[in-house]
Amino acid sequence: MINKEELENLMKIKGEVKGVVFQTDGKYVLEKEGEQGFKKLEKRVKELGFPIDYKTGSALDLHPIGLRIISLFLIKDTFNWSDEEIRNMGYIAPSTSFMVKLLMKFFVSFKKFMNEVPRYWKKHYTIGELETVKLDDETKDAILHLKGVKIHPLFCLYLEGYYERMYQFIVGKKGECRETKCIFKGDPYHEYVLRLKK
Amino acid sequence: MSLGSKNSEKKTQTEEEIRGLESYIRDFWKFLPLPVCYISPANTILDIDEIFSDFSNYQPNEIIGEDLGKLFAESKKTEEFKKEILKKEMVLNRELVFLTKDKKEIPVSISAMQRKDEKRNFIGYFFSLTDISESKKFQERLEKEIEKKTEDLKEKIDQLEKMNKIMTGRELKMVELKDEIKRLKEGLEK
Repeated sequence: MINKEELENLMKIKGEVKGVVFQTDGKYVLEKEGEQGFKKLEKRVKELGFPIDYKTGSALDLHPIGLRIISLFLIKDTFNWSDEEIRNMGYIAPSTSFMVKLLMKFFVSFKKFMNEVPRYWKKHYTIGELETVKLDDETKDAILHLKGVKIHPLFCLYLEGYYERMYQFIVGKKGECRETKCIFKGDPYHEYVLRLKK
Repeated sequence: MSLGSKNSEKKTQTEEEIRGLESYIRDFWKFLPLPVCYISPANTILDIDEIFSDFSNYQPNEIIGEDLGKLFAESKKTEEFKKEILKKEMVLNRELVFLTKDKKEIPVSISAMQRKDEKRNFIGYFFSLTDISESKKFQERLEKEIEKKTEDLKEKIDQLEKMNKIMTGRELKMVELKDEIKRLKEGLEK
């Protein structure tokens, strides 16, 4: 069960996120739970007093980063979803994201996209640094490091799904992403390993 | 007005313009009355409009991220098209057979237009299609009708030729008989 105080503490995390994340959250909920489920979520968000607009908000407006994880928590709790469902939400997000459409010029090739990854992150978040630390254009193996972001393990899982889908967009084949290092486990950064599915 | 407040005003104006553009893009994409999608240079489907979704029976998350080739029955023709759009800024009215999610085949006419970034690098292309199944059916019906009419005409011509042969034969026979009558008359007179 959600603790409102815990949620309000999340609002104290420094940093901002673009409104596009709430649009993709809303679209996923609408697809999975229908119009009724979507309205249930909107009502709950409103009752708790969090300013999340899943429908009419601009993709490019900035919001406190705490709202990002609050949205994930509220969705998970409202519909009693598993963590895996949240990961899947991250996986589906790129296919409905307005930002992905705006940043299509990054999708020219695997090498170009992996080199543009820091810029891609900055287009969404005002904190943290995402960089490609390993890139093999032949095998399509890659490793990402995300530094300076400590929000919640649920967010790490969401990003794992997100990166997996982005990877597939770029290489045009089924791939997988696994978080192999995590700040919440005492590591200095989050590490995501990307590779083609065998 | 101070520099700080000028910059702030400019920033607000820019943000408003960006919001306006976002709204325009969203509304335009929603309005498009044709099945349209956006394809990456690697031929991965990156975006589709609602009409495309209805036409193909694919939900966006089922087809976005897939190769364009998944949508067509003729792989060779599809590969030719992919090569063509790499070279030309615009490709218009190529005929292919579209495969819906439930594997229904629909003849379509496809068109595409390249997109380039500020440095004129190819960054993907818009792709649209039109269902030509009705015009194809009409064309087939028309062709069948023409074929039938041609057959009928050929038959009639054959019949006329036969009649002509008979008539010509009779004519010749008549001339022959007239000549014989003349010869016989001349013989009798002698």
